[in-house]
Amino acid sequence: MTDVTTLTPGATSTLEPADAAERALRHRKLRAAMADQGLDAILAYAPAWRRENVRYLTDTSVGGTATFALLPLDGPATAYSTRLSDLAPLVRTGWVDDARLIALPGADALVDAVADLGLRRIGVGHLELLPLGFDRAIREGMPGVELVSATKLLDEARMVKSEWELERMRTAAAVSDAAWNAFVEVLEPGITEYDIVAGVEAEIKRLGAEDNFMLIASGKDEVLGMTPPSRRVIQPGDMVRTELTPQTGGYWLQICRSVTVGPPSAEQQRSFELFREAADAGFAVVKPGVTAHEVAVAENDVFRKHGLGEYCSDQWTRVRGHGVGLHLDETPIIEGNHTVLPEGATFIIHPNTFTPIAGYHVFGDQVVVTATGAEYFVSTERRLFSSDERSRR
Amino acid sequence: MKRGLVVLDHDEVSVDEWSGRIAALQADLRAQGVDLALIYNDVSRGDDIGYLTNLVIYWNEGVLAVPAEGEATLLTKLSKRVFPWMQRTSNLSDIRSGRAFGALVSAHVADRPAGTIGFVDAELWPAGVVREIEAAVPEWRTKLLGPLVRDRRALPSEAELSLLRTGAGILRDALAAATADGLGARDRIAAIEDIARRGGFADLLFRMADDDGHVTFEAAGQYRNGWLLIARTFGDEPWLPALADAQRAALGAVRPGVEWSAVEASAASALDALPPGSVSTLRWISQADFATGGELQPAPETGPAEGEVIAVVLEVVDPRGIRSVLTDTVLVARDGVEPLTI
Repeated sequence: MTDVTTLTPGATSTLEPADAAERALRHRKLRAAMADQGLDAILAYAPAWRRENVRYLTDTSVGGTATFALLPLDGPATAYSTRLSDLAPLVRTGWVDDARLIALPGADALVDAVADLGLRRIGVGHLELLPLGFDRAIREGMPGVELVSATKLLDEARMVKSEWELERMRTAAAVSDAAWNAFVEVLEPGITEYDIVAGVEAEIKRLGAEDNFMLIASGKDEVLGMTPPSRRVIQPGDMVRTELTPQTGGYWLQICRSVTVGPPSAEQQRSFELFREAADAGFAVVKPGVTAHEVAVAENDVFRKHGLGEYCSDQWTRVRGHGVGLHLDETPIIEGNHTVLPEGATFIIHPNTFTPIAGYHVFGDQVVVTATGAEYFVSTERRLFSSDERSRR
Repeated sequence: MKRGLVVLDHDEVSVDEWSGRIAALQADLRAQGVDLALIYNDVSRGDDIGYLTNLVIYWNEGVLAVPAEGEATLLTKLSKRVFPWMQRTSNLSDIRSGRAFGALVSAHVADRPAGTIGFVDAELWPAGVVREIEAAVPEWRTKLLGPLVRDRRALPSEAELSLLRTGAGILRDALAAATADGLGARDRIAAIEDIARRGGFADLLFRMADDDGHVTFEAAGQYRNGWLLIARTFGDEPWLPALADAQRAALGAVRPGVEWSAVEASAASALDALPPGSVSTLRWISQADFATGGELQPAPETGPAEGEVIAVVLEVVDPRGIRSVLTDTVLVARDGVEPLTI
């Protein structure tokens, strides 16, 4: 049999004009940043859990344990993957001119390409995660080449979304809405947490989701946070909390909601009103030029106003929101983070935390910063849901 | 991202087996003169820590510190709020949280005499994290170790085999539903998601390609800490059944330690039915490398050992450049294979 690793992918580019314009926009942004920072190229590295930068440069859903995309200051972009089946899609999508197979830990094809281009100073996206084997191969194979981190450069480039990206995210939002509907639809006393996840996953895959990040918690006021699902059986009176984040077209789109099993208790309803007020307060301050800190303060001030400020600390919560785009957890919305939010930035506002009122509560929506404020992506109602609604349908 | 059932059940894997896994690693460490092993995993590659503790890194990264003698400790960037869940679903009692692994390791070894730290599966560690830890504990020597845990994972225990058989049964049911006539490509994946996750799968990784109705999907499913691989292609091409014939012939030739070229030869005649210009490859992947698609230990020339669980992957690229794949997971027994996903 022939060794298929020598096979040139049988694929050709089919880049549409809108896609070509988006690619050109990204290349312009990145090359301007390269020029500012004295870089000859950007090399985006993607371990399997941090593929956002490779996706940004290739618009391709890859599966390799390790993938790279190389964008020189001049010349075409190329890609590299440890998985053979990534090569044809990478070329067919049309964002890179060539895609080659690399092996862990050698990366010979990548080293050869960089050597051929005569690059001297390379900014590496996720240099901090580059495996020792690759790091050694690159440094030894390219003596004299300086590797510096380009993680921040790429984060900043991705922060402002184009209309092309926002359109993809609106498509993803429809999947998030459907995911939440599926969540409520399957919920009933007697099923397990992982049954709920199965129902949601099946529905979003049917709608074309590539992946999903999802946490869940069920119970009453003893719940302290969300985790992967357990065998716990859903009980009447529970509140079931979830953070759903389907990925469609490369973009993650998060929604946070809670649903009661049966009618909500007075405490569950009061808890919801608090979280709704906090999320609304965060939304109200968003406009170009405000900082992540200011959004977090607006949310936390609501808790402080109600005498619950201590529950905004890291003992009880993580962040008051975070960027969501090609990665699902970017620059956080947290007190003390003075990142300026520009028009086109997309993030979720979620004041999720524990309080003694009804335990951990989850509520929030993803927004895009507009010229004058912000807009929500999803159309799911911003209220406390109840499983009783399902039986009434 | 992990979002299926995570559970620690001592009726499935005994307390003694869990402690035996740590003890075996500790014996390796003592033999290599290592006082403290560090194992780095992340959400996409978490099986070493899962094998030793049952902990699932559902997000982010983690480092397991295993001393040559004594209790293992998890060093994590996740919040203390999830420690109760981590302790409920793992054998860990000592979990420490912080923002940087260098500082966490430094604090962890503060009351120990300086010795040798070993980085397990060092080639896969982020180089920056290795340097950060080395800088944080300058009085300690460091040693780059091979895949000590991954090697042990390659040969499942009886308890693990039992779980793999259970998982395979669920996956077979899911496959039967997914391969029903008339389903669209997405419906097939939805069927697998629904049945496998309701059956208790912790993770499912899918790849799907749809070339004008020629649909190939590849899935890696995690049931407890074990993985199963499957791939199927659907299409109208008259030569597609040749893949099943070739797979049958190949599986019939698999024996412990067989030269892989002999397995390839046994499948060759069936593949004569492929259109001229097609390129085919037949390889096997160790279960220890399923989550990473066989990319950590590419294409061994010698066959697997008795008792290994492997995937046999038959891949064809036809003259149009379109892939077809048939993959199944089997247990390698003394006299042949026990099909798990067929």
